[in-house]
Amino acid sequence: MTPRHLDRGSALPAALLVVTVAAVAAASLATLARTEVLLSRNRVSAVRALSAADGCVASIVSALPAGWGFDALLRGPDGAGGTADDGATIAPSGCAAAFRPAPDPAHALLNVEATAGEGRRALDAVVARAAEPAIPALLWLSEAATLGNVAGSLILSGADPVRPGAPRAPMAAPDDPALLDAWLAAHTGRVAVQAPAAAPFRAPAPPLAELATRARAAGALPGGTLVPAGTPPLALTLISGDLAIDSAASGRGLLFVDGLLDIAGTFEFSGVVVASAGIRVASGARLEIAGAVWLGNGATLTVDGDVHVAADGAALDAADGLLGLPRRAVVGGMRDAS
Amino acid sequence: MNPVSPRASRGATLVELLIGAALALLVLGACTGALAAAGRLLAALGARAEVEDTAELAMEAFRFDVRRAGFDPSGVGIEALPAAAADRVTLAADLDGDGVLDASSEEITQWVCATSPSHLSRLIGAQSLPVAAPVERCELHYLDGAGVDLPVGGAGLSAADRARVRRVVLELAVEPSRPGAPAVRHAEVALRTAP
Repeated sequence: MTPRHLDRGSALPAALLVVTVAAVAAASLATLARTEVLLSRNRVSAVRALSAADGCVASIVSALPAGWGFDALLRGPDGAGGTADDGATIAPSGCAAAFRPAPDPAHALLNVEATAGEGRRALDAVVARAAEPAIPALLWLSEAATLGNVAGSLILSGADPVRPGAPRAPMAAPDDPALLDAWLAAHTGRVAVQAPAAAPFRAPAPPLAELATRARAAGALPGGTLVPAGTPPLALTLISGDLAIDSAASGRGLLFVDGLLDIAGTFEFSGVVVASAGIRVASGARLEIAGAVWLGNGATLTVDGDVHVAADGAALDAADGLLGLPRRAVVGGMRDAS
Repeated sequence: MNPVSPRASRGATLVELLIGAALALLVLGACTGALAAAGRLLAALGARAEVEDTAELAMEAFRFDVRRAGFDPSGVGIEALPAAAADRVTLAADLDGDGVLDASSEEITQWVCATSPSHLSRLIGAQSLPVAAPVERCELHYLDGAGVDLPVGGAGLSAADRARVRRVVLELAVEPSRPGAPAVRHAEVALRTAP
């Protein structure tokens, strides 16, 4: 007879071995799955951070005022070069940003570092000035409050024969575009936006002070460039103070009125009309502009007569030829800096 | 020592053994079937994950290259798309800002939809990196600012048309290594250079 202890078999060790092997296999699978989950999470974080960095660049660049270069931007808030705040800029939450000079002085480099969740991405963006002068809006306001009551009629035609695929917006201002929409809606019947036209948009105020300085430096004429009839000369005109037009007058180029443009007659202009203190069109008077109107801070637009502003890229280009107009800042390229 | 009765030490009968063996076979068969099914599922999922991963990584790399095309801090006039055809696109970026494009570096990358064998490749200098293969579909499209798909002739887009391109589109369908639906991706990437 076999002793009892020899009858025991190997069930327990075998079972333990099987359980151990299964546990190791399960742990390996779990680790693999965990690794995949972490990889996917990292990838999602990286993509979110990249989107945040993209958005940050777009936000900063769209908030830059139109201008001619980037010197002021590169000098930083204190306006002095070679100081600690050179290139410092305000960035949206979730990202840090700073400008630095680009090899080409006509450009600036914007470095942005954004975080989203556990992801972090850094981008270098080339910031340039747009090829197209000014902004694509018929009325460029320094503040939405500029818009007063319209008792007459205001027609804004956004179709640009020179740029048929890019109609102009009726207006742009630094304020919330909803204010502009609300003003247009409140004046339905007296203000007409003729299609095609882009939607009103937010844009920093026109740099009128620097434009006036540049106009003076470029030898702007103090007046006498408007004619009562016939083809007016293409001219750069800077009027110090108010300009009153009581009869018929027309002009071309760039007219900078450093005061109020007061129209009691008929005035036709092709190009850019700048009025630092606003425009008043009396009842029975008529103002026709092919190009754009820019208004200064605190300026008012009072329309008791008839006003028609129509997009005309050729007129803007002609004005730009007289005196380089300010241009929007645009992204001119990007690279990953992470 | 306890005495063992003859009945207790008798052992299993043949019928008991057969029944035991049959039950064991049944259990083993079920386990094997389950394991085989799980293995097949695991392999299928692995293949699916791999092909989806391949397609996604290809798209990420493509987006990466298109996003930086035209980077030109020196302002020397780097053209973002030096060449653009239906089956290949060349992307240029002055990454080091020295004003010169180094053709042997990542400053010039080329994406090629090849047909025999079908694959998508990323070319840098003399290096060709197969990004996805085999591909059932691999197409490049070029959209202007209004979203219009610019017609691409045999010689590719002209310089004037390339200047109009605002977005580059890659349509990709990568075939899995096992029978199954391809991994389909559509990337529409805006050039980060203002017109």
